[in-house]
Amino acid sequence: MTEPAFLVLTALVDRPRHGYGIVQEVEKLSEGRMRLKVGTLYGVLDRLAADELVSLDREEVLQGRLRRYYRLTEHGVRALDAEAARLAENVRSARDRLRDRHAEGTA
Amino acid sequence: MSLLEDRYRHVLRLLPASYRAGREEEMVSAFLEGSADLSDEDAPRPRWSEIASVAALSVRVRLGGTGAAPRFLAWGDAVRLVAVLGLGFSATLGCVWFGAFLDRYGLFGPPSAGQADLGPGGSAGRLWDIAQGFANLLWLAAFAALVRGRLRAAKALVPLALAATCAGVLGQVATDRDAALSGLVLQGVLLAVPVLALAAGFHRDAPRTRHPAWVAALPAATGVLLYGLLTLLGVWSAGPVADPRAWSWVWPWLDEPGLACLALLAAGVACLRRRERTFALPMALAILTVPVALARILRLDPRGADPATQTVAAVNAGQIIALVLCGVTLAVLAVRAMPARAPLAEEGPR
Repeated sequence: MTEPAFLVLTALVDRPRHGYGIVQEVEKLSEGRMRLKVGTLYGVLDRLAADELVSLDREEVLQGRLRRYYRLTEHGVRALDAEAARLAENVRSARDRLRDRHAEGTA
Repeated sequence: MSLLEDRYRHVLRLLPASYRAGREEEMVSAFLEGSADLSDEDAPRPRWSEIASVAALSVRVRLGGTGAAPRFLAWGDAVRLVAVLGLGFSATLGCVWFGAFLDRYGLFGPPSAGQADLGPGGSAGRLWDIAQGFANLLWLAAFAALVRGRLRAAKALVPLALAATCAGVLGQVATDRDAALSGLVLQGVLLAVPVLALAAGFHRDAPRTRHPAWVAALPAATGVLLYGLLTLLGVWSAGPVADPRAWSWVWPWLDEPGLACLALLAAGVACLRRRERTFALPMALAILTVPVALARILRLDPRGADPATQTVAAVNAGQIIALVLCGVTLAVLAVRAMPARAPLAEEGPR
């Protein structure tokens, strides 16, 4: 799973969001490091929808503008859970090794 | 409609109509919400990064992968086939040049006389020559990675192979500047299409195909046979009874554009004889005829001073005509086999 896909799924965990809402949430989650371009966002959403990880929740028209809200599917929750566990395991391994290295350096 | 909205909608025309029918309004909405602080007085334009993201999305949609609308999938398959066939051809030639390199170093007989000019063993000239010799195999490695489904490796190897090819051609600048530049243009014309096809066609959503190992080895086997054939023809054409006028009918088929032309015409005829009508193969071959015909035009010199060079020019002109006819016929065949356009709702985003 790519980082943008991971962050888009994470942005949809708490509630359904529309396109710009996802862009904002991803920017917040990545602490400003990743600002999705609209073309990139919809490429990611197409892929996630094709894999049935997200689906359309509802449509709204606000000030003449169409907003489509996307939500995480159950399959998406499981996929995000598995990916988060995998990344956490990688982080734990990296931290363990760095701690060992620092310990060897100070010994 | 604001100026920015108008300009962004203009950018979205890069996307297929069927995709826009499903997505345009929400994409415009998402884009404008992120640019709410801009007014028409600022003469705002979508940033290049936004345009690039739409262009990339357009390529991914138009060259669709698994699950895409049949027409986009067919185009995607054709472009991916262009990459595979183009890389396969370069890999075959790479094996031929590698064979010539081994021959120069005396693996198949006495080393060639020119080797002494490269300096003693271990010198920079000698090491560069050896590196160039082995770099010919980079195309084979890239092709093998591609057909074995290792896309990242293939995409990493192709720039290396390109750089090695260009470095090899530019190495001649000191001795013959014009020949080196013309060689560089020729390589650019022949390699640009398959390399671009690799970059565009094998995107994240492209189907992952893993061909058997023998497919990866095919250019090596073909390269060995071709090397043997070219060596034999070289010996015969240099023989005391060889008639240059007779050989001038053969030589135009033995350089890179000539071999590519021969391969394409043979594949084109085989494709025309096939009963099964598909879109991808004839369209891929038709696309490949364009760079090969261009490469042939670049080498075309109609001002032959003697009968032999006049014959070569005539054969070259014949090759160009044959390529154009073959390309047009294959394109027509492909268009006839193109999947029908699906209703907008089915062709658009899911």
